[in-house]
Amino acid sequence: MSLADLRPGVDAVIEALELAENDAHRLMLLGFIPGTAVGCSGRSPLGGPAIYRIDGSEIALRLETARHIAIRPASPPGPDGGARKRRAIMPLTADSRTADRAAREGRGLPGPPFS
Amino acid sequence: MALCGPPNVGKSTLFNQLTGLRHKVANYPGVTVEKKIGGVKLSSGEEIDLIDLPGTCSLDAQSEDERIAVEVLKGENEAVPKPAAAILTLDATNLARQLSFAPGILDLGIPTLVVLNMADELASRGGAVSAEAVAVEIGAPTALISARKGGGVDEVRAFIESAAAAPKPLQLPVLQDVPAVRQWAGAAAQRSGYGAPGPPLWSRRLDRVFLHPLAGPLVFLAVVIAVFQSIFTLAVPLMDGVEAAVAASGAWLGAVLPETFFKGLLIDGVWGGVGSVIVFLPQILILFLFIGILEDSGYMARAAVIADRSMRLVGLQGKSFIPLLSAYACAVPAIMAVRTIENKRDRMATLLVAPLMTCSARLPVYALLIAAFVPERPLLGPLLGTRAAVLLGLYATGFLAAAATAWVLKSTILRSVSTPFMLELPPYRLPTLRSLAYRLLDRSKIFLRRAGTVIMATTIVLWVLAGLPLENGEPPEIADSYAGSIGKAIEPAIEPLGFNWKIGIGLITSLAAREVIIGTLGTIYGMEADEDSVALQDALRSELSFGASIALLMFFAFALQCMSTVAIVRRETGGWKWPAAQFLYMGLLAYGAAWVAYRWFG
Repeated sequence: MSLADLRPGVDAVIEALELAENDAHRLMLLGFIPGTAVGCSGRSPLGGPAIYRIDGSEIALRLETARHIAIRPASPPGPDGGARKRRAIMPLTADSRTADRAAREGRGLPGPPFS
Repeated sequence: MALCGPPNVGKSTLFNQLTGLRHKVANYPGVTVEKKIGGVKLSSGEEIDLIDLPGTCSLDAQSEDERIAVEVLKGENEAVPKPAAAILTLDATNLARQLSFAPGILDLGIPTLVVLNMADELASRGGAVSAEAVAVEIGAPTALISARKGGGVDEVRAFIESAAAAPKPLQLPVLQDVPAVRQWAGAAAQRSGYGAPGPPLWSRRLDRVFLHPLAGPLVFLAVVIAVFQSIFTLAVPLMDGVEAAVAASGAWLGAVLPETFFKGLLIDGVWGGVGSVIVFLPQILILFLFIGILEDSGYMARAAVIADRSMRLVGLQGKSFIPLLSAYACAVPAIMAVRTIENKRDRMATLLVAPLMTCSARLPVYALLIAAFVPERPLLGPLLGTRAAVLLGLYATGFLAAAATAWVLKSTILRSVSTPFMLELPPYRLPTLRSLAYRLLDRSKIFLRRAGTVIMATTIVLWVLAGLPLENGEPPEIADSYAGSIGKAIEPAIEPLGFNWKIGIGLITSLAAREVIIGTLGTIYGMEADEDSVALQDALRSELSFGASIALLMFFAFALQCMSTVAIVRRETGGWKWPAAQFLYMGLLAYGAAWVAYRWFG
């Protein structure tokens, strides 16, 4: 599943950035770090850029870029949900305001990505 | 001392608070990155130089802005001495993320004050932070301020004074990769007891309209039309006022000064030439006022998102929209705005097509020629007449040429593998009068300095060339002057377009700036020149056929007759290659279009 598939009101977690190193680096500076909660707050008609809510800010990305950002659903935990849950530090729920709330409680931190 | 930080944190507002009017804007040598330096008055009466660095997300030197910021902070930029201390401005409303910008700066080892700005917004959205606790976590002095309202700015002043007296290096965390830095920042924010604010509700409500799939593009169109319309309608009375002031002061000088050689030079050369440029100042300031409001309020980022879809059709991206909109006033600030585009190929393509947009210097030329050659007849009832239609057609021609050129460039020499368009949408904020006023002041200074020098020089040269060689101590007939000889020399080249040597002189002088041709034709026909002048219109009708007048309009629509643009493109691209190519391309396009127009209508 990629970020381009994310619908408004659904929460997900960044899994990996499948982009050239330079672009991945710039995305990480904007907050797209594996393990971070992400939400979609709007999509443009006719395939224009979509707006993503991540790490307390709103970032516009073209779908062609979003397609290269792998995500996984924030919940419910799947069969191997336990293993995945360890990678995400913050507890995640299906609530569409997870990212906001986590940030509000000072928990908007990414986990150690590959531990 | 250097002021640094990521974009959208109110850095410039703080800079203005600290330096007031004691600042000047220049460019770093070789690039168009603006160098803003201001003086901060200390209580001792001494003044400290404060440099406002471009907003940067990292010190990786990925963009021109970042490269300059790193160079200055490390003391590697030859134009600026190594700063003795740094003031890092961060946005307190998103501290966990913003703190991750700190290690890169703190790691440089210069005394640094971390300023947490937007304290008012943090409090109004229910957040809280203790500057002392943050200072303990990051090992650097920290101040909580509101640059907009002025709260806490005294603390920043106190730091500037102490650092000026005794710089001392600090112990700093060394952190390399982004996820680790972000994790450190989050932990530091948490340990300092940071209470994050609630979501920016107003911004979200506004975005529901401004980024709505249907309403969004409509609002966008309305904004663009309003800006465009006001450049012309709002500016006209102001421009008339400036024109009257220039004419009145010129007449006064003419009456007061004794009859000498210098009087002619001053009145006809300097006053006429510089006056013809100053007339455009209101128009340019109105455009910049709108751009300032759109940028400071946060709408510009939304406009870029909405424009991205259509800009992509011609191979550009949303961030190209702002420079291209500015180019309707003047290509020079447009090309300076191009630096916000990180992708080098997109930046080049935008820069190369920007001068094709119909800038305000073309308008007086269009107005004169249309008034002289296009009879006014209603086309769409009272809504649209033939003259307005021709003017609109010329605007469309420039726009289409820019779009087609961008498309060709982006599918050939400037093709890029991928254009990751990433744009942070800052929360909406009410622009402050103070910040808008500073913007306009800076723009006026830059415009008057740059354009004034070029135009003044050209007018003086033309005035001298048209007045020499002296015949029996009297200026010669224009046809026998040096200017006349030059016009006649190029006549064979422009004859296929229907132009004679007099128009030729105008084409040459207008290489400096397009509107100069009006003053030149006025000099040549020996009469008072302005675009409403009926006498000048009559003179033009006797010189040019209808086909040739359309050819002249086409020539002005496409040719790069603007030395300021050439100079700034050279500075931006770091060499003569691109401005030369651009000049040649636009020249060939202009010649070709004029030739076709002359055959077609002639």
